[in-house]
This record gives sequence, structure tokens and C-alpha cells, in this order.
Amino acid sequence: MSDVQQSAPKFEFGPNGVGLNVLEMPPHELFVLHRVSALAMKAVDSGVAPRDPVVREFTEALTGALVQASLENPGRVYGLATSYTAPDQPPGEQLFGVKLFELFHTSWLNCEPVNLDVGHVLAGVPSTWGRLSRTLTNPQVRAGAYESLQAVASLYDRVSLDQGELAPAAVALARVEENWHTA
Amino acid sequence: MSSMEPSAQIFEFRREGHGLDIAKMTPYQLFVLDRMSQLALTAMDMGAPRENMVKDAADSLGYAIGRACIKDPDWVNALVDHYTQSHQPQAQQLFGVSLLEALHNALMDNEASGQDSRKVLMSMPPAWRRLSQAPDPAVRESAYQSLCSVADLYARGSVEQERFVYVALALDAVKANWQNT
Repeated sequence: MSDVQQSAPKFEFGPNGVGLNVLEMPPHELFVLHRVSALAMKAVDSGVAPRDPVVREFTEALTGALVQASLENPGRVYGLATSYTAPDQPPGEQLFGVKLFELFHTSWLNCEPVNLDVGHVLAGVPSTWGRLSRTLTNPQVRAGAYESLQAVASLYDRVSLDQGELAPAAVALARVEENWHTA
Repeated sequence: MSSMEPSAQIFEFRREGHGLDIAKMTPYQLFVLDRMSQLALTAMDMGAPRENMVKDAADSLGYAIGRACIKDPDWVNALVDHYTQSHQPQAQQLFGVSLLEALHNALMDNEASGQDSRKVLMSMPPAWRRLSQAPDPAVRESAYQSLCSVADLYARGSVEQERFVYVALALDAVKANWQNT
């Protein structure tokens, strides 16, 4: 067991890191880790459990890896988000799918400048949220998805001020937001 | 660390199932996963909505560690050594204590089923002695409770299995000295 002593005390997710690779995990395990992390954060934030640096570290590592995965393997992450938001999924899974979409879309927009070579990724953003507005029926999931949409739309709005090429998508996204409650 | 087969396999040891293989994790990752799942359970106990998957994940992690204790006690023992050092943070030392207790429990099952685990068993009293001198009182207290539980188990087991006598005596000696420290 010499590797126990040699292992660096690091914990990270990601294709190039030394930790658990989110892209190699079965989708269910990824989802469970996300839920465990969300609940542990809740325990700490509500004061039920003492502040524990491990919780933030874990959550940030998981989010960081998903951002990295979104940039390096968008097709896979988009596919995961799509399958989690399918109408036959339970609400918990759907909310995770929504979070994945939010993370996926904001990851690309947070790159400066936004890489417009991935136009197919960016162009699909309004239609993705439009689809979610029609297919998600659970009120709790819809509420969560609306919050995520607002976050993505506001980021699009901001980024399109500097990169005019993104303006049409920002406008389309704003329209999805406006129509959300009547969809 | 449960020996009951969990209802869902989120974690596994050495490709025995379909989950995340704890044998491929660094000691720190394993600790973090254990800590996170304990905190998530706490959140549910304190009123967060019950989520079966969180309970499943904690059970599955405990079961995978239990399997590791049986299949590769040296691997777990090395983790115990790593985590019971006094320079480790408190939570990690406590994790080491729980691993040490789990290892004792699993090895007793091993011995009962005819496997000879004396070599590993006899290598554990030093970890208890080290814990008896842990500077952190919370770690010392928790370790003492675990030691009492394990020593009791072996004392009872030694009535029927002579081979447990040596372990029971060694644990008793640590316990006696502990009370004197």
C-alpha cells in the first residue's frame, strides 16, 4: 500500500486532474454525488453542521470539473443534461439536468472573449430553454428551471453588449423568459 | 461500515460491482466522500427532505469500505496509519478511528470464517496506542469508545475462539494503559 503514502492530499474532478473523472462516471453516480454535495452544503449553510472546508472544497471541485467537462466535451455534457431533463425523469433528476444546462451554458459565456467558433453550442441555447419551458411540468422543477434561465439570460445580455454577435441569441432567450409562465 | 449488502451500489471496492471504485481513490477523496455523506445524512436528520439516494450512498460507501476490510486489510490498515497520525486534522483522525474499528470488526468475521488475519490484527495495537496519546481530547475520547467496543467484542469472541485471546489481551493492555494516561 505504498500508494497511500504517495497520494497527494488532493481532491478534484476533471479529465486532466488527479481526482474522480466526471466524464467517466456513470450518470447516476454523478447525480448522487451532486445531491450529496447539495445536501451537505445545506447542512452547513443552515447551521445544522459546523462549517467544514471540505464541503465547499468538494462542491467547488465538482462544479469546476463540470465546467471543464462542458468546455472540453460539450456533446457529452449536453447529452447528460438532455437525458436528465427528459419528461420521464423524477423531479430530482430533472433539477440536476437543469443545473447541468445552466452550468453548460454559463461555462461557455464566461470565457473571455466568448469563442464564437462554437456557434452551434451558443445558437442552441434559446431553443434548449424553450424546449424546457414546454416539457417540464413539475412546479418545483419549473421554478428551479426559471431561476436557471434567468441566470443564463442575464449573462447573455451582459456578454452581448461586448460581443454583438451574441445579441440575437440574447434577444431570443429574453423572449423565452418572457413567455415562460404562459408556455 | 456496514456488512449488510446495500440496496444500491454507488460505491464498490476493486470492481466488485457497478459503482465508483474506492480502491482508485486517494485517501483524501475517500475521507471527503465519507464526510460529505455524513453531513448530508445530518441535514436529512435535521429536517431536509428525505432522499433515499443519499442514504443509499452512505450505506454503499460503508459497505464498500467493509468489503475493503475483508478483501485487502493491508490497504485499509495503511489508511488507518495515515489518518491516525496526530498531525492530521480532527475530522480526519476521527475517520481513521472509524476505519480502525471497522477493520477490527471485519477481521473478526474473517477469522470466524477460517481466514487467518492475525498478522493484520496484531499490527493494530500500535495505532490504538498512538491514539491514546492523541493531543486532541475529542479524538482520544472517540478512539477510547471505539477501543472499548472492539475489546469487548474480542473478549467475548475469545471464549469460543482461542486465537482471539492474543488480540483481546493486546487490546486490554492498550485500554489499561489508556486509563493511566
